[in-house]
Amino acid sequence: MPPVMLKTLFVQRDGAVVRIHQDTVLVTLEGETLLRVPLHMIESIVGIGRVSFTSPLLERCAADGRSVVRMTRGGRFLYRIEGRLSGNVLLRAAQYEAARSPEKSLAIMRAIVAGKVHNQRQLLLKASRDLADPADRAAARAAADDLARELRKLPSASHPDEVRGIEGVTARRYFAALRHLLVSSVREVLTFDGRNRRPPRDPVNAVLSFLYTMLTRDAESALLGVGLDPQIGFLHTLRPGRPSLALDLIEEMRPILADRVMLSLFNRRQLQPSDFEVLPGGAIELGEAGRRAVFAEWDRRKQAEIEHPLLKQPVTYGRLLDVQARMLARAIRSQGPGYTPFLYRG
Amino acid sequence: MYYIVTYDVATDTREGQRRLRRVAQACEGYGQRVQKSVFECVLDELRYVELVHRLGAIIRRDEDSVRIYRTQDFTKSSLLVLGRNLGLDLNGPWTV
Repeated sequence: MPPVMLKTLFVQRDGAVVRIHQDTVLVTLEGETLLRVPLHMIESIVGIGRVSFTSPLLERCAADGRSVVRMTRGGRFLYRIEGRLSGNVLLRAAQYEAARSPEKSLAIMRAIVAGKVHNQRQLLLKASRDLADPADRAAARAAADDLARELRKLPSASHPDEVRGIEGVTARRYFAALRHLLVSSVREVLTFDGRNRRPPRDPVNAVLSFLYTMLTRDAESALLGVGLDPQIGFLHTLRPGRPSLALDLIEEMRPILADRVMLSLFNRRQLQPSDFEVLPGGAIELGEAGRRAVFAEWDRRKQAEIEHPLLKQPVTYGRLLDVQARMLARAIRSQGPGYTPFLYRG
Repeated sequence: MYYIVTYDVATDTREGQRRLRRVAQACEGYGQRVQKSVFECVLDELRYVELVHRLGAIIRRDEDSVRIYRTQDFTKSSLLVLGRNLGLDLNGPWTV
């Protein structure tokens, strides 16, 4: 008997109220019921824009360990509600110690960057096979070769800043090549030329920022679930309020979850330039219909299955973060082998 | 597993009307209402047993009846809907 697949409920209608009634979650708008679903099928609730949650709903979710998250319409994270801190205080103590140990930090950092660059390469190589224009194919392959060269420098990187330097170089190289994976007719209407953020200034970056926020949120939940502190990271330096470890954990997932979803959305014409709004100041934001398309594709990707190279069994993309959070906990706890990132085989 | 829960509650007394409300309310916590007294539920073993137990405690066995069918799934290939479709795709994204 397979366990029931739990869902994330996305609520984004302006003025919607999410409440609990017995064991049912109700979403109402001006007194009219929009949706009624059983609470037991929900893993987390995400509210975007002007959405409110009633106190009884929040209390119930906190007690059950279902997370509730609020984001702005632009996809900026506002707050999350989690129940009582679970997990193992000894693990967290080991985490603080690992973060202070130069050898251990360096080993984990290297593994994270290696996983990320490997997955970026696989995405470039795999997507390049479907490209019509030989010039685009060549550009994607050339970038993949450059990434491979950087990857070979990683094992000898003996200082955290060296590892971060390799990460920075590869990120720029990868994002410069990413435009070649967009269908040429789509590329003509989008002004995507590498990554920009805070705020994102073109549709591709707006979608990437939105997806990365959702990915970070999932990573925080996964880390809290295994009892790690999302704020004590290795690759990402500590800053007040920054979920450094969650950001570390999503590095290897960015290409295969977020970037892949972004490419599908644009290449399959599920997003049009009209789905975006330009805000004063030049920031670009997804409109309501556009967000709906993003959730649908994100959900589809999270339900797709992939063979986990270490576990030798199929897992859904949506569960990968939970699996990798456990791997991270094991690496932090043990004296032996370091962290094993998820390596995607294109 | 996928289940279809149907019920019939004798509502000629005030007490019967109360039972009907309580049965509907109990079902709502386990699945989605697709007709006035028909629910589609996705349940694991534990939830299934829980639901059966709860409904059994609410109804009057000499007057009401509950029927629970186990089925493959609720996808388009195994379900035909004519007229108003009240159901939410349980496997699709849940967005409002």
